[in-house]
Amino acid sequence: MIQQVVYDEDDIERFLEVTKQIEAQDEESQTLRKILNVQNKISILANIEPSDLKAILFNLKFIKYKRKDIIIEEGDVSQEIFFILSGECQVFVKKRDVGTLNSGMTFGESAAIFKSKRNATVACLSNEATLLSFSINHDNMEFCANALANIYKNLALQINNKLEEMNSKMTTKK
Amino acid sequence: MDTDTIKDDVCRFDDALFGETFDIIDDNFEFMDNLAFYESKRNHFLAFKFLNSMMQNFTNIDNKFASETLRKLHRDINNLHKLYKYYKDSLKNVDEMFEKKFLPNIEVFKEIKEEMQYLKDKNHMDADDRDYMRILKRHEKELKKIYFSYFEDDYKEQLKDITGSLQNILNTKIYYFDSMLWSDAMKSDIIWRSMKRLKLDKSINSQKYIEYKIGVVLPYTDDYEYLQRCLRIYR
Repeated sequence: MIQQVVYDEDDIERFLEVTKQIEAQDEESQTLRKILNVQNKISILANIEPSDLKAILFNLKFIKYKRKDIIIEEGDVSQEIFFILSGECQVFVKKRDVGTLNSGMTFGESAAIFKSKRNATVACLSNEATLLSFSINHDNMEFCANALANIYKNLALQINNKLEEMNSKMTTKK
Repeated sequence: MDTDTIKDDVCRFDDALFGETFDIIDDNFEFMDNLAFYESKRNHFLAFKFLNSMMQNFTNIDNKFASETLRKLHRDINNLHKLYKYYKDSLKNVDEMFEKKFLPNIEVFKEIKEEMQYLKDKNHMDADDRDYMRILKRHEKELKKIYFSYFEDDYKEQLKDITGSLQNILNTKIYYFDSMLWSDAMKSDIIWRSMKRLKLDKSINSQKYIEYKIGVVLPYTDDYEYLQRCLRIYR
């Protein structure tokens, strides 16, 4: 029969430390698994290898907002990207209402990618909205060249779509 | 022979054979419960071979890298794994266990054996002795059959219980070992420099190392397949 290993107080302290680390990691990886489920709905993350996605995304959070809650403010320096899981948000530029964002839409990506200031304020419009927020780990980008290329490509497509939408609105007005 | 006696015999054998192992299992669960160990649903047990070889590799690079707790945990896991393997293999030797370990301890079989030996020791067996020997042999055969049916079910059930419990304990302890191994390794300058040479950074863990390793081992070899399976644990 085997001889059982006896752990002392120092060992126990170390185990408790590891438990804390593991719990923190697992919470993040569970959120990451959830993001993989909706990956292709988040346009700027489309076609990125899941392993790359895990390397470049961090600080994943599901956040609930109530009506009139400010999610991001124009001029602020923050770099999270937001994906609307449910509810509606309103966009203001220089305090002027410029549009509405619905579930399935992404915002905040420009500031995150170009590390610039927020160019609009976004507030919760519906009684409640659930958003997924995440940040991009630029340090890991050098190991994920394809992911970086895809993000820029997706972003260019998104900007192009917005321009086309604006053009079509302007044409309709005329 | 009534079934209660047979069941009692099997029970006594279980206590003698498995009692100490069940104590070890209970102690381990109690220890992990008291410290609120995190119970992972992923199959870290599978990564045992990989982690064992990493422990060996790191020790070869820097034999002082491992903390006292990591060394103890490594010893603990290896001991438990040997126990697990012993019981896993025992599932293949039910007949042998019955014949060699169980039967010699059962009173009624001891008596039959003694009587057979008494007859064999006689210089000359008469017709009555030979008849009696035949009866004893038949009786022994029938009893063995009855005993075996009780023994086999119970023995397999106990082994399943033991191997299942040991696997759960090992899974949790291996998960902790995994985390502690990389944490200790990255505190060693020599190991860290060797990782850096492989273009791996300080955020290295099993998943990242396996990803690197998969890129350098020959595809479709046993090692490659094993690493692929391990990688799925972490993703």
